[in-house]
Amino acid sequence: MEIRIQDLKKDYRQKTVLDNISLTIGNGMFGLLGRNGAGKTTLMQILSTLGKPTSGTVTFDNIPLEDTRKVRPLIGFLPQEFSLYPDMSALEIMRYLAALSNLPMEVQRQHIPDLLQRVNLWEDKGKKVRKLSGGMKRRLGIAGALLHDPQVLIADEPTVGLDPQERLRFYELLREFSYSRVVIVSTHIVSDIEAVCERVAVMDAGKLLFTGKVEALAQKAAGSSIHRTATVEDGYMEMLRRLEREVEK
Amino acid sequence: MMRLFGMECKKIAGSILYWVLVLALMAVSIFQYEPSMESELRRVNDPSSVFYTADSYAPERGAPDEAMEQSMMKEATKLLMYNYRDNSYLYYPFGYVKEKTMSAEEQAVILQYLMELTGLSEQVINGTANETADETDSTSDTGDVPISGGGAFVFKPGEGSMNENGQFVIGADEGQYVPGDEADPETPAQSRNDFEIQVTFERFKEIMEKVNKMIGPGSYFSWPMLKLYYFGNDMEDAPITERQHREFYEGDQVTGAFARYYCDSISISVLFLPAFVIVDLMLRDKRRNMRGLIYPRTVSSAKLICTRYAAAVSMTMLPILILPVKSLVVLMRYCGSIGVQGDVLAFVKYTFAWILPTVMLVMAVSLLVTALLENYAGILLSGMIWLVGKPPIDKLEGGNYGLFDLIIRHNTLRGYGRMMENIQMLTLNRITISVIALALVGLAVLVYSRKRKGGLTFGDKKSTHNHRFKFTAKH
Repeated sequence: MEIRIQDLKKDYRQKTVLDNISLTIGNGMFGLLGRNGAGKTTLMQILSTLGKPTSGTVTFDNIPLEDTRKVRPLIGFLPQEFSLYPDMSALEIMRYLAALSNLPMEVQRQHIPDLLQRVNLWEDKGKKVRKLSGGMKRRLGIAGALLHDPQVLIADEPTVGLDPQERLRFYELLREFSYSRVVIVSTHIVSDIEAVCERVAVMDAGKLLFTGKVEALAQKAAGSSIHRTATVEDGYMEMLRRLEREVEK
Repeated sequence: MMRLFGMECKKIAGSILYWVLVLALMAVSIFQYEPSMESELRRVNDPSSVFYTADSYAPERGAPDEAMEQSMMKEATKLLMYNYRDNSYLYYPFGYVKEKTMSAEEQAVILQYLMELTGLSEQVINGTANETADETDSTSDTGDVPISGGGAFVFKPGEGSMNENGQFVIGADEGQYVPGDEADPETPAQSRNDFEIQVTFERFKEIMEKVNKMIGPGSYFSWPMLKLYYFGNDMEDAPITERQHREFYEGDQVTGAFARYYCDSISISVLFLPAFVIVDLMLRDKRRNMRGLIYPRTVSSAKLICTRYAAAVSMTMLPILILPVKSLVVLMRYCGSIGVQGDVLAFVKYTFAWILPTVMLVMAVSLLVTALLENYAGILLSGMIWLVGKPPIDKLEGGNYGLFDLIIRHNTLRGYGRMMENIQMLTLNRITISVIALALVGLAVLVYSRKRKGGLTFGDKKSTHNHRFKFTAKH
């Protein structure tokens, strides 16, 4: 699977939220790094068919984004923040989402127990959503996003509100899933990207500042006078500092 | 699809607003429809009951003649006099009864009309003349002492006497109690009833029109109500005619008449309340932040919206179909006891033909508005439809159908023939309403589809952020 983003632009009320983004994303974990308001969520929503770009193109293995009938079966989306019907049990939520994904019954019977076990919710399958913790809901969300076995998983700030242990388990799950698929994770937590992603893109104010391997982002800071042993975070911060200096000029 | 349908039905069943609808329908059925049916069954031997069976029936009222006009003028004037005396005038502005109290000036105008209609003096109409007469009567040879609760003690001359305290003392064997119906005291009301109409029928109609304007739309003095009460055969207290007898037993097969009456009873409720069910169902995704999980799914907008719509309509129709089962059993049992073949499917037929299109339309309007604006405006709009969509008073007894009537009224157990005479317009009306409903559902599908792709974001405050969609957290 290959996602090609070409000159993507998104304006909202005379404000440019995405400014000529061009990017190619292949199989594996891909991190989207940026401060709040950088445009990550807008990009994620466009990739998830939930938003329309002002201009530019996006293709999924040459299938244009606009062809939602073909694109939607390829995509699993986990929104930044979501809730679920509180009166439904975890199992009912999965069945409901499976019905919305047009999954045949025999596939549902196989996938739902498997996914609930993988996200460690099988024991709690009968629990009402209102009794699940934030982390459990998020795991249920990811299980729901993977129900139809999508080729692309888009997760917008998936670890917000999770404790460190849950974050690790969550990323382990995503990594496991990403072996033969595309997983795009947006976050503003640099260490998350460093831990799990092979490639990364850095965004700020709707612009793409960097795209490449995670190690390359760390090397961006290596030459700076401040850091001798550069990390990804150093590279990211250095990049933001340069940007701010350019703006000041 | 059936699985999704079942899940949407379950979601609806878990909604408090759905149970509000069910309770409202139950209230109408238990407190309005069922007592009417039981009352009709209690008076099967009454010549004015639809069940009445005899060798001869009341004659058919044909074109209004002078006698009927006279009867109308006298009875309507009596009613106006009672209303004037109590200063309480009933009217039906929106299908439901309301009471109007007139100002002193308006009462004076009504008094003038009453004087013109009856030729009686102001004192007689107001009852003040009789109060004086009553005082005079107490000195007459034969005294009647009216008592509370009706009836009177009748004394012969010389019976009873005044004591020194001014109290009237009755001996043990003096006076005779006469119950209310037998007592014949010259009460004020009766003396006021003793009049002849002093105006022509044309002038009477003019006065009634003015009185109706003063009271409000759909008063008992409006021409449709006057015609209904005094020229027709369909009022509940009018004796049954042979035609009506035949229509009830052969046309309606007994249950049909009650099914129609049942549908009439709940028609006002289904003009508004179903909106709650569909609006609540549609807004649940927004309230529970589920849109981010639902919108990117592979299900088509047509399938999702149509399934939800079908689930909401079905869940609304379910109590409407279940509630009359008890009365159907009672009626079928009665039919069996008199050897008449009742129509066991009558309630199902009438409910689907009369109620379903209205439910479909109300829900379709609410669905479209909710899909578009994602707020409770759909309920507000349905409330407005409820206010303006009720047919005028002259359609209350059925048979008078318009192409765009939202509900079908038939507030009588009679009138099968009148309905059948206009069955084409009735059918056309129900088809038109259903087609409009389906067209609105089609529009709702288009709107929902655009929304899923990030279009038509107005009305959604959250999405007016710098992103088209912003899912807020609730853990």
